[in-house]
Amino acid sequence: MTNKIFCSLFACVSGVLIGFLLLLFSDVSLASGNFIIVVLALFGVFIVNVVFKQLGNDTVEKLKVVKVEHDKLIEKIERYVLVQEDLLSEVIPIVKQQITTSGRHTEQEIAVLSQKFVEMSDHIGSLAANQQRDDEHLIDQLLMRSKAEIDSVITELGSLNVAEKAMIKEVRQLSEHTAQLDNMAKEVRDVADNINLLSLNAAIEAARAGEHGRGFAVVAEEVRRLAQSSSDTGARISATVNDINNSMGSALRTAELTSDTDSENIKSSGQCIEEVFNDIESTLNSFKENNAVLSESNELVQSQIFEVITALQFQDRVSQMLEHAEHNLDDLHTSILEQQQISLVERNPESINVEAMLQKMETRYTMPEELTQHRSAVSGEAEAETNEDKGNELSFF
Amino acid sequence: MAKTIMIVDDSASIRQVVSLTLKGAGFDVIDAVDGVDALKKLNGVKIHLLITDVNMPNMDGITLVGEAKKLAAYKFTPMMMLTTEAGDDKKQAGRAAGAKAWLVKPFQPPMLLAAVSKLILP
Repeated sequence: MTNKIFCSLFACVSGVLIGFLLLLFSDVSLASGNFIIVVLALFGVFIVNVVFKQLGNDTVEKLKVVKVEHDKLIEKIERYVLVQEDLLSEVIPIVKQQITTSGRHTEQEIAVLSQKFVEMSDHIGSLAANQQRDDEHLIDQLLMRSKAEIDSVITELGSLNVAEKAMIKEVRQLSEHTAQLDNMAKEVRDVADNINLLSLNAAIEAARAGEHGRGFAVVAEEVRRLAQSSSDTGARISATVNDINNSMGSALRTAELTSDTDSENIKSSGQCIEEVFNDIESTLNSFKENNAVLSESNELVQSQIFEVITALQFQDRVSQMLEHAEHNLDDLHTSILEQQQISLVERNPESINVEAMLQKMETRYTMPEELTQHRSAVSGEAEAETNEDKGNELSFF
Repeated sequence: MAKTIMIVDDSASIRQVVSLTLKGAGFDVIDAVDGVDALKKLNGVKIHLLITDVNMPNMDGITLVGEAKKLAAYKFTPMMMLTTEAGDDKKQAGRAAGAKAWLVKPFQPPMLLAAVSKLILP
């Protein structure tokens, strides 16, 4: 509008100027001159109006074209926004479901795995230690009892042998007694012989005495007979003693022989058994050693299994991270749904607060690592090195 | 008489490791999956130490410590947190509720045993 006024004014002024010039440099009267001036001015204004109108029409035409283009573009953008929202609405729940499933799957499988390891460890523990100790204990006891019994048998045999030798000694002593008996028997015979002689002399003297000696001769005869029977008894004792000596002698010889052989046998048997026992003992000892080694390696396996179970703690962190991812996706989905409720024309970019959403995600995290990675992702850096893993940090209050 | 320790955590693998560690050291172990379950199982049972996670469904660990401390039976029972959280504000909240120690997961068994031996009731 202002342009039009200025142009009109300019046209007027030009007209007036031309009129003036005409007045000045030609023989036109003032009245005619003024008339010309007015006409020129009006003409100028008229021309300006026509030109402007034409220009206006051109602009309107152009604007119409531009508006049509503009409307098409807006429609395209609107469709694009709706399609994009649709896509996100469809995909986010799917992704969320996948995260939930993998989280649950991991948790379950790790629990099963962990339990299996615990059972393995228990199995090795109970089987190894106690069983072996019980077996060893039993074998040890068995061995000790057998050894004790065999020792007592050997002792018994030994003492039997000793008794045998003692018996032999006694028998030898007995033969000394019989020798004495024999001497005594000989003495009896000698005495009897003497008495016999004496009685013979007495009989002779009795015969010489005649009648008076007859009584005495009878006594002498009786004495002679007694002497004779004593002599016989003495001879018989000697004979018996001789027999006893003979039997004792042969018995003694046999006993001595057996005794010596027995002694030898007992000694060699004892040695044999001793050797067998030593073999068994050394076998048992190496068995015990192997047990100890086995026990040690079992314990090692158990502690390694324990380390594995400890390492399975990672599942807890994974679960938490996945849970947070799920909630983050939920927030995103909710935001989209909320926006979809509003018609496109009424929507306001300010109503989506990216900063606030990111902040909300930050408060959700439970591990320092999550926060670090979030921030480095937001600022566009490469994935940050997680060397600020604060695991195993203990503080007392 | 073996001493009893309660472990509260919603993760089975954590309960597994803690249980094995403590049982290996000669303790009896009761486990629970969250704060509500823990309170149910406590029910006057004598324990010498409570170990709990922070982030759990139904009732979190810090609330659990607060609630347990209100009960006469557990007023003097030592309690510690075992969690992935390492932030100072959370630690202060735990301390305020009555926890005596804070161990960040993942943990190594010797560290847990060190904490237990320092805190446990004689």
